[in-house]
Amino acid sequence: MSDNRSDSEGGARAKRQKMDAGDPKNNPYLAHMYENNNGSDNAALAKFKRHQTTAALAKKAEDGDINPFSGRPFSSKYFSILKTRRDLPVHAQRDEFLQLYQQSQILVFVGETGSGKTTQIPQFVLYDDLPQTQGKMVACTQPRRVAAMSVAQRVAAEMDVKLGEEVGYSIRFEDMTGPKTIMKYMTDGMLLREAMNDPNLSRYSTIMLDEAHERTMATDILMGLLKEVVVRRPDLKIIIMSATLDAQKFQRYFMDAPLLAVPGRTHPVEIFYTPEPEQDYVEAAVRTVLQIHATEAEGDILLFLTGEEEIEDAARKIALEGDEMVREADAGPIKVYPLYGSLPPHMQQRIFDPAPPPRRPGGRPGRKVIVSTNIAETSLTIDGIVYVVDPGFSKQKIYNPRIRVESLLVSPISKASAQQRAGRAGRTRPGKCFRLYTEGAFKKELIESTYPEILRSNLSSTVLELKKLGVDDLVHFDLMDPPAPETLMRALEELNYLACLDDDGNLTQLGRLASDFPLDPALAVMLISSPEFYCSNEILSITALLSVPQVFVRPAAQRKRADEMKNLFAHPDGDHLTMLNVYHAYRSSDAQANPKQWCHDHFLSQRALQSADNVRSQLLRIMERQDLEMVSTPFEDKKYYENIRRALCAGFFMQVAKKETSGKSQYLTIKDNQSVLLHPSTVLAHDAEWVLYNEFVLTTKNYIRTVTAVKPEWLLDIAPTYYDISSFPKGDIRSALTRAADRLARKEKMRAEKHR
Amino acid sequence: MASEDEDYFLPPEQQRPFSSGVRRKRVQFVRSSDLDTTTAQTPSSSGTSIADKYLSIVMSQPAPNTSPNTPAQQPPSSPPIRTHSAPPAFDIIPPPPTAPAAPEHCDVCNLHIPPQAPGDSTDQKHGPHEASLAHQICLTHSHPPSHLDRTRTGLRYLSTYGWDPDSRLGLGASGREGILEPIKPRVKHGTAGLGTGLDRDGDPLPPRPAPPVKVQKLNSKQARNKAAEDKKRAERMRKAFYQNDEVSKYLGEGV
Repeated sequence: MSDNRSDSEGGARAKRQKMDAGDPKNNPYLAHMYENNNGSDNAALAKFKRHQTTAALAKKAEDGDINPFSGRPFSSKYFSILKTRRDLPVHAQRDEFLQLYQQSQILVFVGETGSGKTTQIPQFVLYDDLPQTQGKMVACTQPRRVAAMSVAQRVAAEMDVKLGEEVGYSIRFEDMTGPKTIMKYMTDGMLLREAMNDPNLSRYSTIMLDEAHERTMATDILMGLLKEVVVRRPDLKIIIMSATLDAQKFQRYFMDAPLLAVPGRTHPVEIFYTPEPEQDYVEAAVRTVLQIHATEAEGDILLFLTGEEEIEDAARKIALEGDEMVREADAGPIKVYPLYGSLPPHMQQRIFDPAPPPRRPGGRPGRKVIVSTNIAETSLTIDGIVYVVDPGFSKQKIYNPRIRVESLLVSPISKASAQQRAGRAGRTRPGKCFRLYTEGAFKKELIESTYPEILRSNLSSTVLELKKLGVDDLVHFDLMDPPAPETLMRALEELNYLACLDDDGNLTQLGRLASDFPLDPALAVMLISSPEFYCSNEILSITALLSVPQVFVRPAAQRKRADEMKNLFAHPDGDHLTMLNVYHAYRSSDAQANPKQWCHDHFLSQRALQSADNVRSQLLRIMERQDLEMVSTPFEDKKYYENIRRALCAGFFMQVAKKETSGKSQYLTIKDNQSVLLHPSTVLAHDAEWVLYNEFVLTTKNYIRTVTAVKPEWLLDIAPTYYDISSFPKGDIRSALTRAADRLARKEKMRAEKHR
Repeated sequence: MASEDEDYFLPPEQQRPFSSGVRRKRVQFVRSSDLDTTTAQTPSSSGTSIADKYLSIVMSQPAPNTSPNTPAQQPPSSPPIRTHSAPPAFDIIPPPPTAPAAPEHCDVCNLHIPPQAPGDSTDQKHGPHEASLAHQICLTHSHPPSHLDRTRTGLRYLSTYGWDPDSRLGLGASGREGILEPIKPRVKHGTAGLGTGLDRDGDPLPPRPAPPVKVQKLNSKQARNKAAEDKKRAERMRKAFYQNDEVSKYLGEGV
């Protein structure tokens, strides 16, 4: 051993000398190599030959005293984690993995959730790819921000390094990496952004696309890009990681890349259907949970529902009924946790709390119930779940290019999704899955697999990204599931109206600027043109507020009080200005003295406002980089709000509705002619003839949410091509536009006469 | 003057019926010098029958193979030359065949074609193959053109990169084209469970019959009472809606 040690020390020394001689000083990724001069740096890895290591070699390095990546001695906690890591299913196949990884450029890896693929495979790669020797990094993409953060944290702990040093993460509006970083977890969207400025992704030696089965938009685009990049960069290695066994599709797509499948540690799950369809799936779900609690053995319950409101409602009902059962029937204690995306992280963490203990020794065991959206379907692994209740619905985004509406609709899930849900029950021991539909409905109503996001979304920001990436031939770009031609056409037309693309479809200067912002093109264009309206400071705040979750909180129990508080900030001309008022109030010294209390008092979400603050400063940095002026109209000026409203038109002129002459509060969207109502949450005081909206909400009725009153003259002035009167059919809208054009012309004439 | 005179001397059956009063100048035509411009003409200049012409269209018979002396009743004798999916309607003049010998496999349906035997037995063999169901099914048919508005800028962009809206192919790399139509959103109202309206096997249920209306039978006294009650209610409604305080002040109650 000591022999070996001195040998490797020698090797390290030799290496160091070589580096000192070269030019590595200006390579930030190698900075850590000369920070530690205790001689043991990289000792463990000295003998490693890149892409020729084995599991045994790696094991030895992992078992050593010194952390080969940071150069510090391993802590005792490291070894306790190491022991559990070695029990993970992927560990048994480390050698097999390494062989395939070394042999081929692209590898498809299939592992059930819980096999340890997300945390372990990147570390396997690190010990073989040795990115630090190349001055490169290993990237692992995640579809969700929270996952990227939490996995990075976990892996940093496993590797016994500080988060943000060797292991880091990068998500939109937050970069937690440093010059030493060799392992980077990131959202797939972030990697796509990086590809825009670095088309060969030259900072990376290996790229892993995790959770590829989720088929997010960014992952799909990345796969298409990487297929081209691997040709240009033979040294780049790609691993596609998927949780489901439809991996053949990935294999076929990636030129028959080799496949490695690691079985998850799953137990059989018994599946039950209802004999008849349920009349009310929420009620049936609540009853099923209570029934399980009353009759089934120990084990936690996972209930899938569709949205925040539904989940909170069901959770409350279950908790109430559960308490009743405790009192009346001496049932075990029951603890209910809701889980959905917009829930604050510390609340999300609570789902990992253990189930409550029995109320007295020897009493009926307690039970934990998690009521979740489909977050818990694949991305989150919760141990201890034995029973799954599946009503067969989830909220899915869907885009209709004909009326340009992207909406979240409650839709039946797919068969693959249903299987995935059932699988959640078999993580710790044999489980049961209760499906609230008939077996016939499962076979005939459900589609095979969920449509990938790219088929269900507005593509305008994607097209802008692709154009920036240099992909001009959108027709033959090799996507796994190319979108419908009409959807792509709509995106091209929208970008053309926004002047991001010229009439021949080439990226304009504005388009290039807009693609620098991690925003929807309409928002980016609005931001870029805001200096022309002397209100870039305000528009920046509004953009930040529109990019974060809802700032207004409206708890079911205190709706009236919450609405009163909201009215304090209300601006008669609309919700955008109201949000701006909120932000200004939040930034005032009054509020900043105790922001938590202030937000609580005013029924505002401090988390949303904080992240708006963060987003604002990130966007500000981009604007400064682009030399966009930060200006404001003086508040005393009577045009202060008008300028802001005009600037809103510059981005959202395609999302305008006009009041119908006949209907009471009916509006008709311009060009798409959809009949809509103002969302009840609006503060718009007067009967605005023309409104601009941020969102089209498709529920039982068609609503437009976050609206602001505008004037047709502004629209004609700001977006003359879109509001080309001759392109409108005869009718109310056309005549209103004509009148506005006449007014404009008269004003123009008067001004001209005055000047004369 | 001269032309009018010419017209005047035409025999009566060649004169136009309407020109009794109005004399019209005749429009002269000259026979085309380029013989190929006639479209539907079968290349064989001999007097082919209409049946022959029809067969040459349907079976895309190449021109040179049809010898002028082929009897009209005989089925055409050439190998199939349509290699891909051009709709038959646009294919009236078939291009000449690349090879006169019959291929082993039919290009259209990928089926084996029996080897060519000398003499006119060849003709007998090929006719039936092309008339066979397998072959006919494999022929592509023309489709109605796409509904997309041809003036859209988005379509123009896609067309410049070679996408044809009428091709019935989606976007994407060749051989892996995507969907043609966007996915249709279906709005779900209420909290009805999955599969309501379906029976146990997942097949749609027949519409439920409306509940029968209960007929209530009244005797004469009840009927009278009910009529009085209805009248009272109508009066109350009338008062509530139309009674004017001013008017009742002058005219008193009960008006």
